Amino acid sequence: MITSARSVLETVKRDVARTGLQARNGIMHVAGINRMNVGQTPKDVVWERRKSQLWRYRNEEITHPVPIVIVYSLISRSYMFDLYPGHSFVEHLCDLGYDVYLLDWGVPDQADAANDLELYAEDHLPAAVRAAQEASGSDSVFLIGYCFGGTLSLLSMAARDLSAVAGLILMATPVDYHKLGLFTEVLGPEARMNPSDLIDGTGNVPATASRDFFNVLKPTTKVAASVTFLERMWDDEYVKGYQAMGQWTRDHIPFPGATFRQTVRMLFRSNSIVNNTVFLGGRHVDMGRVTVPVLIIVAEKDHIVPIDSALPAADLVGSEDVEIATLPFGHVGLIMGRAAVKQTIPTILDWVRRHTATSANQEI
Amino acid sequence: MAQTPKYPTSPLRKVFNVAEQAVATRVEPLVQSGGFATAMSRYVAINRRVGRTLSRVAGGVLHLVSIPTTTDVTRLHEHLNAVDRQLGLLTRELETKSASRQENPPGPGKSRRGPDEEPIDIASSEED
Repeated sequence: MITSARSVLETVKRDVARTGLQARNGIMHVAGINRMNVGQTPKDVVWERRKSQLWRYRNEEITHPVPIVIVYSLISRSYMFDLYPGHSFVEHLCDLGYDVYLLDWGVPDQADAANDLELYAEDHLPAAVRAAQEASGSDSVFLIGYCFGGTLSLLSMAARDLSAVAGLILMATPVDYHKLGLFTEVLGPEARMNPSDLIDGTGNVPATASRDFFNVLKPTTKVAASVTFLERMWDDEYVKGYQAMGQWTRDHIPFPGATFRQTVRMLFRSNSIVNNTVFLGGRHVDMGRVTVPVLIIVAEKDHIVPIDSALPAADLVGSEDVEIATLPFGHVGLIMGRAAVKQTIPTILDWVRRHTATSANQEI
Repeated sequence: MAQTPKYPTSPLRKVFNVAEQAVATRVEPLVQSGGFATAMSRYVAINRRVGRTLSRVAGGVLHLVSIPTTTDVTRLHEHLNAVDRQLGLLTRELETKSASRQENPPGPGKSRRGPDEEPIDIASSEED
């Protein structure tokens, strides 16, 4: 009897405390006064060209000889890899003793409307890899391409002789552009949408268009997330994560117009990567030229880049050492949250360690 | 679709999850369909056409009073970008050339002339 009364009292106490926290966090959320400070891991700019920058994350205790260069997509902000302290992909890699670089493309404006795939894949990306090599003093680097950043990395590796790259990691990278669901329906061979209709007065695809496109893919997700937020508003850690994540999902950037037109024509309509008919700057870009070890990471629940769109990379590259890792997450879950720390990072690092040993042996 | 939470689920949340799942399983395939893609593309195209017409009319009015429009500014930007790109190409070409020159510096006795070139007669050129 006494025990049950005590437990009722405990429940009441807990609920009162939670209601107080809920009210506080709710007011702060509505007023927008607890906006998260994202991308806080200390870093330095080691290379820049136009709006592209290569960041090196400060790390006093580098214990691994080969640096890691992350190539981000052109669609949203790169702080996805550095959300907030304790929940940052790059911070975690640094803590484990890696020399980490991130290639950020900046926010395109009118001046970048003519930026094409050649500029990113043949010019900026190889230059950034060279800069990482110089800054680190290492002979080689591991390249991680995420989403469209993976496509750019693949094109760059095939188009340029990037001998400094010891291994390529493609994370949720679309390769078969005819298997991208709604994107393929709209921009693919059926040519339902004229790419010019999506380009605004600045010559770029506005950020709102990308955001709306992604929102429509999972129409109920926002409502479900809001309900979970209301339910767990008392939990400060959850609220922090929700706000940082929400901030990132709303933070899309314009997509350069020329790259968009090329992507639609070459990748969506002609599916040129799968058909090995990519031409950059008038030259054929043969995927078979990618002969370094490749790790393909796909997310089982990825609704943006389904597994079928990412897997063909394994057969296209010329490498004899290709591994595939299928992880039980969504597109974003691969990078953000506890799942990344528990599974994505260990998967990458296990592969990196094995291939660091291989490349060291080969050098000897 | 909502993920199964790791904490006790309230009855209200359970009801919501069932409803959300029912809606999601019907709506998600619909938004991936060709019909939806066509409707969305048409909406975007109409929106764009209306926007273009409005800006053309507004542009005409602004031109009447000699005020530049967004299109004029865009065109100017395009010209500047073209110049900027040319400069970028030249800079990179120079960088590549200077890098290759640093890798293979000309030897102390080496001439910059090609092997088949005749040596220049400075005296005669001065006379000319």
